Amino acid sequence: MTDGESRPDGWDLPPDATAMVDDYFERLRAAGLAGSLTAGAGVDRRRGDDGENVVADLRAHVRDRLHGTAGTPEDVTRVLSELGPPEALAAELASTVSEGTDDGQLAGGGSTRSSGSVLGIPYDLRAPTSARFASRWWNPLDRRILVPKAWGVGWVVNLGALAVLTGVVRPDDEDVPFATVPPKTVAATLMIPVVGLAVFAVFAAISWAYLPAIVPTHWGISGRVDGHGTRGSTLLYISLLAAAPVALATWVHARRQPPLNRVAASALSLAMVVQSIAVLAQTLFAVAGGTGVWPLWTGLACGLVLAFVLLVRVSHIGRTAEQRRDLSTGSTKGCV
Amino acid sequence: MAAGGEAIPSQFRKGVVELAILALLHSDEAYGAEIVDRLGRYPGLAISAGTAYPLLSRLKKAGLITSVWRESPVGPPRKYYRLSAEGEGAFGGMAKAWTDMKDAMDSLLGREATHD
Repeated sequence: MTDGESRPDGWDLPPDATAMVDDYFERLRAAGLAGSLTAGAGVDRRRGDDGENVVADLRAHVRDRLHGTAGTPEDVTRVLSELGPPEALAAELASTVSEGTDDGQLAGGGSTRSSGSVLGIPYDLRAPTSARFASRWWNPLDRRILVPKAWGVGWVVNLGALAVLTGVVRPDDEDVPFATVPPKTVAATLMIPVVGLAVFAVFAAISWAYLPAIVPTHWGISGRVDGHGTRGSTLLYISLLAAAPVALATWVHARRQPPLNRVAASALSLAMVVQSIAVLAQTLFAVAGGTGVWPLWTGLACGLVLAFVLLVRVSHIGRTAEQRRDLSTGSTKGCV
Repeated sequence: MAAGGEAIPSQFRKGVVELAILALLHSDEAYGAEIVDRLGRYPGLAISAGTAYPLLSRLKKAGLITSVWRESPVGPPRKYYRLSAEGEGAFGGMAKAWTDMKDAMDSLLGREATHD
């Protein structure tokens, strides 16, 4: 028997009635644990606390309903039947409690939180997917310019929101981003980062002769060099920085992922290739005696701008395809 | 009072605004900015474009509304929204449920007012 079964007015349930109530709430608790209603073994603490509070309130409710009765087994059965089977009640409670605690985009699964936020800084340590990357980089329906990273800590720029903000795209230009874009166009977007990678390769080959054995590899906030490495390892690192995203984008295209995923992968890899070219340019700039990191920042900006232009252009192609489909009948408002 | 000091909980308002959009589209089709403008005439239902388009997208994914591009007499083509057949049925049920809830709430709030 729990402490809650004794009341200040001195009224107590008969032992057999108490046993029936305890049994009911034990079943409710067991069903709730299975459905993540209560805290249990490491399930989301906030949701668990809410669930425990609701269970405590329900227990008090049952006692109130039984107060003034003889507390016979028939009375207990009647009151508990009003709540329904404990398993069904647990499912209903889990649904109700989770409505107030879930963050639709950040909810993690399992017994530990693999995504969420700490001190207002979002994190997501779930296995990355091309769909999540794409929806964070291009989502015109989400007005937030900065959205949580698809993988890692911090934020990324939602280029879709930026396109809406600048007026080059309307939120509902496309029913589903890039879904009506001709497949050949979607596939062709991959050629842009591939060409960029070729440009990088040529640039790297030419740069080799101009780089000393030891080259700058890191710059402080003030723009001063604070790290060095060998020419070979540095060029290898920068080459991987350029090639790996393009390889991943190629994999996304080869896997026949949805058009949004494929175009976003092309745009993201294009941005990375441009940034890699900028890193190489920054290295050459420092070797030549230049100070500051403006080549790096310029490359970063150029990469984002080119990705933005690519995504907007493909979005316009998708919008045009939708319009061509719908307007082929020549209908106008009022004469449909 | 809702958590966080909101006069009306966001989930409650979201549901009401969705019904309001269905009601607008029940009478006639409309494009996005037009829906925002028409809801803006009702202070309790006013929403921004940033709220309207995700709601429209959600209703469309649920199959309750459809969209179609139409030439505009002024400017570029516009995307018009209207109720689907499924949306018409859902709207009827939701409108009935709303009326029942409104009557119940009017009765409840009126009764509580006499106790104040």
